[in-house]
Amino acid sequence: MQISLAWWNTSLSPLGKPRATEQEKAFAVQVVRFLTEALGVDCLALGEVTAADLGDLLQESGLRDYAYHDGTLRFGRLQFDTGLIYRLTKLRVLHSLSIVTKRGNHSLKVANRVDLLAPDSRSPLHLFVSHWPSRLWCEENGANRHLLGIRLRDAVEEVSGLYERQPSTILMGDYNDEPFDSSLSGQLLAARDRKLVRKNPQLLYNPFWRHLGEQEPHIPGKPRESVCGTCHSRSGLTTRWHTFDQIMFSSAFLGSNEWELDERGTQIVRIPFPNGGVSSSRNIFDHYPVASVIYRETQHGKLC
Amino acid sequence: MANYVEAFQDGLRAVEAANRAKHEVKEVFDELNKQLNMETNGKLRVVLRQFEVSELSWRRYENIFAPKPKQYYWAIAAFNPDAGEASMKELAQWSQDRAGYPCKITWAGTESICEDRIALEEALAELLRDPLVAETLVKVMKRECPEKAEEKPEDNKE
Repeated sequence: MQISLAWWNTSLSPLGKPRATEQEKAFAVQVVRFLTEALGVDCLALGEVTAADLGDLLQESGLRDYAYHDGTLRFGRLQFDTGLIYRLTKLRVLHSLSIVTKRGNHSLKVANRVDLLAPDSRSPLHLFVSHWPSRLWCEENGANRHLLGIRLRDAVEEVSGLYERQPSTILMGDYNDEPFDSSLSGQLLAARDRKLVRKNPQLLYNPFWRHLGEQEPHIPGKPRESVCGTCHSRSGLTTRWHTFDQIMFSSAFLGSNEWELDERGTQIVRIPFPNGGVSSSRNIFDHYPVASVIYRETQHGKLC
Repeated sequence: MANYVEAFQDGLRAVEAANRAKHEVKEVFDELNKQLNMETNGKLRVVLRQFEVSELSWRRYENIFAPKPKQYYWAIAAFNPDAGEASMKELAQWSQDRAGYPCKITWAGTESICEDRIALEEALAELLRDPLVAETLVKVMKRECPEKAEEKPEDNKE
């Protein structure tokens, strides 16, 4: 059995404020349909959505065996803007929790934790969906970004504390930080080195280290269209591309537990967005979805 | 070679810092109670208490999969001093770092991690603004002491 996971920052309603035109909403529906039907995504986490967006995307996509989990909680002045669309035959939601860290009068959204259970599974999948603040409001490598990494790490360790072995924990979202930034590599301890992660199971594995550069190689005389990240900004001194959208895994997914990561399914999904794509200022879509796959071996309908 | 004297001195400073932080947290709850006491004529007191993990709580559900079930947890609770501890009701789950901060308040599907005094004060104010928490507080205030409750039938006799 496999479960396909994806994250997409839709750009429909940043901070819970709807801004999409009818055409843009219709295109978002097409993206959700493509991800669920063509890519077979079973668990699609979405960012910059409202509860109404989640309902509309589910209904307009005509997904009959899917449901949505609304994570768009308002907490004081803070507005969570993520949610999940998940396949009912493969997953059910056990529990959810929105995690906020507060320093002085300032609050930061750490993650929405959603515990999911697959049929006949021995243990839940603990999913942490994050949409960290933009670098416009929370500076690169600033103290608040470190704090977000530290508190997300604490939340992961709290789940680990419930088990004797490493649990199945998946983190996904738009961190507005690259895999190499201190918040993710230094504080969250999301590493690129699988061997080291197996040796030190406290580390997380971040397969999106492999998606930092150009997706296609340069071939002499044959220039190819490529992307070198998950989102595009209009300006940048040395890059306009960033790999802010990532999916990370606890060490259990590297072969020590029930579920295993199938990294062949880890990818940036290059959706042909209208009006010039993610690099164009003529549409709201500036993030590609990212996807990954986990696999569980079964024999004769029973767990191995 | 490790400098154990320096490490020891660091430890002593850490103890002092932790004690200061814990005292600060106590002050926040004292101020909360001072204000509530005046507003409710002494019918409401907020405290930190341990509660037993119930069969139906999500913690218990998770513990089906966990080898080390926790039997108790800390919570922010309220009681009516006139009615005694029997009126005690849980408002939110609570945990506190060994260093005093952060303090974690969990209720209504939200975990609020407070890194300092101002954050804790704000989080407690948010807790009190929650309609379900407010409803619980009203119920707690309406609880009467057992003696008074027994006296009532007598009061009705004329």
